[in-house]
Amino acid sequence: MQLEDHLLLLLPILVPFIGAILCIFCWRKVTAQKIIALLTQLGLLASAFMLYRHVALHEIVNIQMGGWPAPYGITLVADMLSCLLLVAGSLAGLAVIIYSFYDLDKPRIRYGYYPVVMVMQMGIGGTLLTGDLFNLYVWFEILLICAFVLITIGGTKEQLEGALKYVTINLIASGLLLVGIGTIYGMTGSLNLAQIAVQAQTMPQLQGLFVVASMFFIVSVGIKAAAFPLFFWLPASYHTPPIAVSAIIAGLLTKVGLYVLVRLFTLVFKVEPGFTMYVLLIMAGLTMVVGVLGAATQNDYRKVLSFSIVSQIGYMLMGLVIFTPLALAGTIYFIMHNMLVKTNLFMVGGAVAQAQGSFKFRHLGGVYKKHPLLAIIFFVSALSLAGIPPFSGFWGKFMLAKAGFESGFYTLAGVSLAAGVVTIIYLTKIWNQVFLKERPENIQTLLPVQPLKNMLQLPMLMLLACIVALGIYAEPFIDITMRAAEQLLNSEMYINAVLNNN
Amino acid sequence: MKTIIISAALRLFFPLFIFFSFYILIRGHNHPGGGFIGGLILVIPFIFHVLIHGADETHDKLFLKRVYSLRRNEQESDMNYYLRNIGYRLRGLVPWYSRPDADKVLVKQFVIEPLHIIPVGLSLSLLAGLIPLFSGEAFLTGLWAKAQLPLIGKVGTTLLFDIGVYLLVAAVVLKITLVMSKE
Amino acid sequence: MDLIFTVAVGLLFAASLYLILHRHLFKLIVGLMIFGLASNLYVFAIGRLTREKSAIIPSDAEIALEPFADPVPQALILTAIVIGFGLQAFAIVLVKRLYQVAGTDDIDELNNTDKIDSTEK
Repeated sequence: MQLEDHLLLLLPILVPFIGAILCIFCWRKVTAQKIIALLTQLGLLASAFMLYRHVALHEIVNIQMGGWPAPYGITLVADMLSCLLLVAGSLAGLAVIIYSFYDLDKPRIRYGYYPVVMVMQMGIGGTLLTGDLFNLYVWFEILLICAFVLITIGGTKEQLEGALKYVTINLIASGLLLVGIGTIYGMTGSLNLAQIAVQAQTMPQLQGLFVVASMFFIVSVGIKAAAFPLFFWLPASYHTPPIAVSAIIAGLLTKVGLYVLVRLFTLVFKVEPGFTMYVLLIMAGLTMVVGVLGAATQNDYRKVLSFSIVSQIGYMLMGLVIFTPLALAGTIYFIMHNMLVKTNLFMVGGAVAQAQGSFKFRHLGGVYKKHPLLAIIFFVSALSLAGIPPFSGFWGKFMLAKAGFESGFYTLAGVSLAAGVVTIIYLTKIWNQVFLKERPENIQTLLPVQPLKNMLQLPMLMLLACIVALGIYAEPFIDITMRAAEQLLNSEMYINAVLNNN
Repeated sequence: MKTIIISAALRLFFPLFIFFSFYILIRGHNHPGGGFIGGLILVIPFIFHVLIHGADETHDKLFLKRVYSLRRNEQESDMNYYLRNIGYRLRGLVPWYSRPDADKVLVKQFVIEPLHIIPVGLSLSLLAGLIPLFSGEAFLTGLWAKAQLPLIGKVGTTLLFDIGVYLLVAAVVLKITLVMSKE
Repeated sequence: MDLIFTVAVGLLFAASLYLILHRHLFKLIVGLMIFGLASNLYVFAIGRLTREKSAIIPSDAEIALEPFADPVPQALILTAIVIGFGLQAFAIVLVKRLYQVAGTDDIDELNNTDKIDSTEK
């Protein structure tokens, strides 16, 4: 065993865990919790980056918990995909933590905002790094229950209402995920992803059953990733909690669900022309269309963005359907881009609400005149989300559409471009309603109005710098995502790295 | 639900449950048992206490600790008072011994908050995982001491892990019980 | 034995979905609990049932005697039960709070967050 591999793979899980323990020790001391949370996030970002450097040098790295060799013990595996998402996720997390210093009210912090966010980061790290199907379920539940707590923190009526829908549908999804895992175990007698992949290749008589099991995963993870037709819980709940909560949940949670789909459908279940591919194809197309149409009809900043999350999930699924290196690279690029942009757009909305006391378009206006920097941050992020060159969203959509046209998915690629046009429409609507038009007079808002704290713009500028860099220096990033996609498509590499470790 | 029979029985069963939960915890290595079940069993008498006496009284009796010292006599030398008081304080460690009385003064009181036990349990479990790293083994490898302890038997990092789970589960369930019964 | 388990799993899933589709908050929670139980039982049954042969190695043997019950599904559902315990505790508290705050136990009335122009902020 190598200590270096061990530490690098464990740190992204252990750093937030230790941070959470320290935060619970300082339960009533808000300032101490803030300092611990900031340090933890910085540590997490550093450890994620170090892991990425290590993986870039050594391809796929894995360790065995407790020294039990691979198919029997619990494996932690890091490849390019998981490292890239880990880095992007910890960046978004850092931004939200800094944002929460200046926006979140004290009672909510006293109810344990920081420890829960830390544990959620641990769950995300575990989900991204585990190489064991059942551990995947456990880590996912950990981050899910943290999301439940975060959504209800504060306990206003609409938060509880949103949370009821969220909890109900996600508990059902967890049950179905367990059923899928049970089916896989019953068929192959193993829980190690690499071992299951070997069994799937060597036992052609089980192909039909693998399709059945894959349906359980599509439904359950599809619910968690908010894909059509299973997304209705998301717009019903994501707009209810304070922005410091919705930003981190919106930025990270559905993307982790999508990571699970990508991991399972590149390693265990193959997307071949047939039933599975058509199911995913229809899901991807309709997710995009329904998401953008939903976003275009809403009149509330957060609700527009909630539906927008759904439509972006469709793009990520699209890469999985096309299943060429370019398409998967597009998906990975798009997930990273989306984690940063969506978090940033939510935080802009939070800042606007702090200054004007509402999220509704009919209460808002004139932000461009009063806070030009905020408007610029929104403008650039929105251009990036809409996919205007040279910003990051363009490259993701470009890779996906190119791969779609190359492999003959003309309808899907056409739908994705059309959905892009509607994306521009709803972002223009936000721009007009919130930033350009004059603010209506004599309005009563329910939220307290306070002068905008300038420090709020710091995390947004930080994320904005990442987004712009991701777009302007696209070439090295596209190379990296191409490499990640090659690793995903050569599942032999993953299997060899895990099973022939010693 | 104040019934004399159950509250009298509880007084007997309280230490019994606690010892039984220890027994389950330690037996967990090779037999059914372990930290999770032990922690749950530890909470049973507390839940009964809440059911019988109500959450406030449970908090007052079991979680609020008061430390008393003796009242100082007139013309007593420092040394004499100090020695007398030390003996009293030591006996006061036994929970049911220190009772308010005319010649005793309340020195301080503190609350044993289940919320503070949660991170202790978590850190013990984390420590059990980290110890093998120092001796060059994989994370979470079970390391065992050579010597055997009386009653407990073999001691290793797994026992430390289980104690962490025991504290964590007991504290979490206690907290849930106290919060839910207060509403 | 397998048949009994299969029928039981099916019945539990049916019952839980029936309860979840009710409009009443309490039935919703009961339905979710049964749904968790049903999926646990499914995992237990699909990991092959071997009766009265535990996987504990006798003190005079080196390996466990064939046939023995597979301990992995048991460990899996034990973990799943613990996770389910946490989730259900949360769900119960949530429903209780929601009932106190909203003053209704009819799910059809809790549709405020779905409306385009809700009366809330």
